[in-house]
Amino acid sequence: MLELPVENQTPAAPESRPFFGPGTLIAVGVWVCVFVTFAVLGLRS
Amino acid sequence: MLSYLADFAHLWSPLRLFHYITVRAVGAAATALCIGFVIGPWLIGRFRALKFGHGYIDERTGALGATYFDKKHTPTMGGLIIFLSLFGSAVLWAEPNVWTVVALFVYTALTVPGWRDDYLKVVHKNKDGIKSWEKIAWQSFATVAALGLLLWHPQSAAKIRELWVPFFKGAVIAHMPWWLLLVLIYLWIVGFSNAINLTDGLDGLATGCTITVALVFGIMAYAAGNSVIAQYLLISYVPGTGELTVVCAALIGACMAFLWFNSHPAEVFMGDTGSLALGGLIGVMAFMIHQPFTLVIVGGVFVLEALSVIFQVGWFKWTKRRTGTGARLFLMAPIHHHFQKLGWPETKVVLRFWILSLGFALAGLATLKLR
Repeated sequence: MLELPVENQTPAAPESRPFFGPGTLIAVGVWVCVFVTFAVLGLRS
Repeated sequence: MLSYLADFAHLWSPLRLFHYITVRAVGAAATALCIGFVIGPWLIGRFRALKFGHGYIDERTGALGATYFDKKHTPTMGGLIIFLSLFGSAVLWAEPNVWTVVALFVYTALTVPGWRDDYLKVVHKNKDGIKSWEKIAWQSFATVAALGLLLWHPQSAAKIRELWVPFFKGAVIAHMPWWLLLVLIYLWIVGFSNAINLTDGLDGLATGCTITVALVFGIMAYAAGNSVIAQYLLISYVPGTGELTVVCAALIGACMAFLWFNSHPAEVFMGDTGSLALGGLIGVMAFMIHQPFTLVIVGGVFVLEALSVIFQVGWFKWTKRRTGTGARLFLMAPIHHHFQKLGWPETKVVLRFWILSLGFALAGLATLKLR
């Protein structure tokens, strides 16, 4: 089988990865908890 | 929240250092800088993948991913680097009180529409981004909620109603009606959000100017929160606002880390994620420390950028109505593009605007003594 030279090979179609993985959701959850704690402490002072 | 450690100074005396705003401000700046340096390269990689996909082959070099710097290939949403650095650092080092809560709330509430705007543009290829009514709705929500908190909380309820003007020794209005306060805060938040958004057109321009503004407002917040200094300078004493110095320091650290990657040739742009929220944060902090009109001086570069667009559009419409042909005041607006059209290199425009910003910052600081 004839192999195409490297420069003639078609690059693989770009595939996108979702930005909202489980890690992102956990990070947002942690951030919400931290901010709520900060706000409760701040507004009760 | 590390300030609570000072309560245990009787167990180990060095913990008393956490009581001092200056110590915590330095800690906040250093922490934000470190967070920015750690998450910066990782997030830029994510943004690049988000913009181009993982199989992206650089057209010029043939290598995987963009290995050279080109504005077309520069990912946006870098404001997220500033947000995470600032927020993480401020929550750690600032003492929670109504002023810091409102500042961080406004910053967060305006990061969301900015980020959504960038996300729609980059991922969904929607060139218009979020609808203008949605952006206005977010800005209105942030303003109303922030003002509601400030008017409700006993520490801020009376103080926030005072209106102070530079060069005057006392409050010009001692008890502003709530609707006037709402209109002014809304104008400041929306105005400075849009002004920073317009300024964010050249590598490092908006970030550099934000650093000088944050530096001045950090000093002003410290002065406003210290009864002795406030009395000496004849400025408003607002108990608790000294903590905003820590927020400003975190902002400086976060912007410095971001500038590392945003300096020419930029590896990342802040996008609306950064510009909308930074404008809102600076705008609301100016009100909380009773220096709203000083912000017009200190943030002079942002004001000039916004005015250049207003005058350009206004003059074009006016002359078109009068003569049938629209004339332009500048070669291009915002004004930094005018100088680019004159042939100045991008870095020269940015550095000269930084010098201007420094000048405005010093002029703003001088208003503290000229009363």
